[in-house]
Amino acid sequence: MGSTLRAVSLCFLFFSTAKLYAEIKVASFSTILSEIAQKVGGKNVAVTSLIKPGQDPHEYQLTPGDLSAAAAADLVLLSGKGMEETYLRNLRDTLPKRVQMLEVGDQLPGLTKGMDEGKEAQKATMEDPHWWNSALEAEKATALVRDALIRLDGLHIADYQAGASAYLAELKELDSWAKRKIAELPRNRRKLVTSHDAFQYFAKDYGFQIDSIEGLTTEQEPSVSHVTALIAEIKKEGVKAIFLENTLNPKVSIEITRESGAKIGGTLYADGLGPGEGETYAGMIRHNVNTIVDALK
Amino acid sequence: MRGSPLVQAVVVVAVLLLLLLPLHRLTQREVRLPEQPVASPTPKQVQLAVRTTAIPCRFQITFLGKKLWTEEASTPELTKDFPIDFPKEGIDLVVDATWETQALAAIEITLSLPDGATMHRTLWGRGTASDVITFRENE
Repeated sequence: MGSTLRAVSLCFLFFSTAKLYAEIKVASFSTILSEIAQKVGGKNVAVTSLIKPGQDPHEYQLTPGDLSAAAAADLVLLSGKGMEETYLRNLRDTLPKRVQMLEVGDQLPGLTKGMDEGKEAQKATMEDPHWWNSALEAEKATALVRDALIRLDGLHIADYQAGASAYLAELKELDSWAKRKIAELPRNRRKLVTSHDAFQYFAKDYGFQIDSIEGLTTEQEPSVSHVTALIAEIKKEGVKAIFLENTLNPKVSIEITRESGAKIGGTLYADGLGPGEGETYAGMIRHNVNTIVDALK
Repeated sequence: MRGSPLVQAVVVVAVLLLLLLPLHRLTQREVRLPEQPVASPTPKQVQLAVRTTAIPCRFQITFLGKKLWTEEASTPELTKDFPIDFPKEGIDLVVDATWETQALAAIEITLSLPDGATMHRTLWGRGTASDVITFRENE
């Protein structure tokens, strides 16, 4: 009887210890948030990135497999600010109650270019969801992910704090580097024309005026009148270069360069990580800043 | 050539008209509007004054990626003039300062325009201070 009791106690101890060291499962609908969760969580988390590097998150459609992966997670990370609008309700309705959802962007201050005053109803659809193009906003996102992991897993608070501190130091250094690099470009040449409206946070941080061919999402086709006005603006402002994006078709941009006399300045990572230099967040920001500065100088 | 002179004349005119279009295309130069350059402001004689709370102070000011002013300051205040483009969007200066002391110290940069407008920016640090500072009129 005594040996049976000891065996049961040992089994109980084994399983409870195993539970203590179980990884926190994180499912992420953003390549940037996947990196943040991995950097902050380290060995204590298992991150599944449901949106892959180079994939356009505006075009993403929730699959049954991804839904299962999200349902099996402890924490689901979303970009927020309307980025997941087409499938957010399905996620909310389907995920088990124990799964924590963190819509990171919704807890960051928003930027709304051209929103009519007094039309608060427009805010949800007109707020720029591309907060990750600002290293300063990525710092705030890191703190939010850290706090969410601490809430879920009180046993590894020190690990999460250390992971977040190290990553925040990298982000501060990245922002400082970006400011110095952009300082090489005269402020009156900081006119950034991109394929879609994804750089409002970047523009705010580094003193750019921005314009784009498409709107906040890549699903909106540009109108002829908008493209005509944009060509006129590029000519009037003497914009030297316009920029392509890694997930979008360059056809309209190339046509605009023919009509306006501007050149193609390079390809930017607008919607998250991607193959090449943009495989990491720091690499993505460095690539974008170098490309923009070198083309507009 | 046979036929009436009237028919012959009509044929000649028709041939000439047919030739007119390719001739026009060949001889017409593409009319392009002259490229409109970005309005480049006239360089202004800008005065920079540097004040530091601790000496000696070694500082470097960089403008558009080029060293503008490097100094080993042994007095708390220095002034120098520079011809600088000062557009309405303003300018960025990269300031790097180092002090021998590890106590909290500050470097203040004052920019004065020929019209008398002055702007100040201050950086604080212990041993070093480094940042990009922006000067814009009316700010």
